[in-house]
Amino acid sequence: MKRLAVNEMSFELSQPGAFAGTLMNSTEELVTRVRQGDEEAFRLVFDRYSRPVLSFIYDMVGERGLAEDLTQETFVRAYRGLSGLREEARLSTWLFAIAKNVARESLRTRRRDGGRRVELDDESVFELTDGRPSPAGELLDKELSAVVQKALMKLDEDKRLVFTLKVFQQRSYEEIAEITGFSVGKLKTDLHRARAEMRRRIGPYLGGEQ
Amino acid sequence: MRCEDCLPLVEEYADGEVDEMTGRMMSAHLAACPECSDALDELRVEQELFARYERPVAVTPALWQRVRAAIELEELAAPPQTSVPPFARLRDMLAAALGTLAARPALASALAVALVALASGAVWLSLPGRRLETPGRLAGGSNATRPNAPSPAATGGGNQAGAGVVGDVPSADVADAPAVARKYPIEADPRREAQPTHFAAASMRTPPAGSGDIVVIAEDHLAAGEESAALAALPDDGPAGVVKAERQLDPEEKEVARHVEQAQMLLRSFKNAEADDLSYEKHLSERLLEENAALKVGAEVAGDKDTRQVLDAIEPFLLDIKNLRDQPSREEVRSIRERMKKNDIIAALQVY
Repeated sequence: MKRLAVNEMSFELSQPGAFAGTLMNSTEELVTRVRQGDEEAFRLVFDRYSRPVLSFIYDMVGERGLAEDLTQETFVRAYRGLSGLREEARLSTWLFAIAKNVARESLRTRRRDGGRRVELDDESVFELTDGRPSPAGELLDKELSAVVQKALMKLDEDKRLVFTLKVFQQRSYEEIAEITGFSVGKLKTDLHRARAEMRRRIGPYLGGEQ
Repeated sequence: MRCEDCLPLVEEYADGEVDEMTGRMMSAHLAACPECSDALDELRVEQELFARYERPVAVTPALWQRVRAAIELEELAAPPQTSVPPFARLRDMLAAALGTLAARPALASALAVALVALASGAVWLSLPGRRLETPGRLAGGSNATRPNAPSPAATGGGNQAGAGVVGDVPSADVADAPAVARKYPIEADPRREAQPTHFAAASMRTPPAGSGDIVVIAEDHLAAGEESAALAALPDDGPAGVVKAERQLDPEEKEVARHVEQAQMLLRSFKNAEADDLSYEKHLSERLLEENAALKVGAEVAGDKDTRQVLDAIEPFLLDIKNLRDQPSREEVRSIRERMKKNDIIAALQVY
């Protein structure tokens, strides 16, 4: 429990979107306050976790608008279910598990309702330029992002899930197993294959980098 | 350590997932083996590359506002434990009448038979000298408490007073009825949605108290004296059954709010969706269109002009999306999106 609590904090600190001021509040304290109906505490939970959750969902579904909607749904479900959270220190793992469920439900619905392909929205990636002159490195990063996302969307769902949680969200195998419900053996295999696929797909870009 | 032992563990090593002992052995091997250290370097280069991955998403204050609004809306519109919102009933009945029954003659026949059976039961119950003998099932004669045949619980007053039970509740003594009613709330039991008795009981909620009728007494906020007074106010030859349900604040408004939220989500999804695959949005708009029509009728009946206006505003968009071809042209989609933008319909619904 103690190790997990430390991991939580280091994870939070490592997130660019983490709201530094909220680190004064322990996760347990925030959960307790939310359960008591403290809206500000839930706002702090949102500030702390919304960015990684949004990024994670976006990586899973590949559409910006949908990712926002699903992030909203994740936090609404979290608010609703917070009383059922047994280990307060595991809040972020629990949130990611909800986000995973929400994202997978959405992907499943899409498949059932017509098999919409989850593909890179090129426009949305390049909207990042916002009209300012782009240094060469910045443009390179945008191209890289487009290539990475395209490769990511071509992974099957399980592989995309473990790859995203490990490589982008820096979660431990134990946490990934908890979030996904996969065995550590399966997630290691999926992660290894996902890395190999990603390597193959972004290989030309990697070659240029090196 | 040899290469064949080290290489399979390089990823776990890079991920910081090997145990301390293995880590030390690998570190020693990697320092001396160019092949294995190359594999590790490759992984690290990849990791650096992925660290530069940017997503076109950002958490905005608007997202928090949406979360907050959705929570507030959900709290307002939380499905009550023991009540049936009138608009839900209206929608169900209309949907059943207009859609399901037309598509499923067998179901229509079954419902008709059930309704006839229920009506017969009501007539039977209204006959002089009949007493409630089979508590637990409304359709089978009801366990509902009658003022002229009070159970011990019914005379106790307050929320502990004997509550009738709607629908397929297992048989129980009348004195146990309140507990049973809570255990099998009207909407919390999905089985009841498919029960003809659900519609029948719901449709009987509104008639005035009188012989053979069933009256719903709001349970939730009735004080002990109020409930007793309510029961006392019923005529001596009063209703065949008294069915209690929790009263909720403006349930029709909550129903409309839920509908508007779904419509807003649909329009948002339509706005962001790929133009060449809108099957999900078409399907959803078809359902919401039916619901919209039912809610409009309800608003009309209630004389709620504001709600009617909102529903009128939604309808053309639902209709347009529903009527799109399976493979709509980009121009058709763009035209609807432009009208959405021009009318600022999503923002308008959000305000609602």
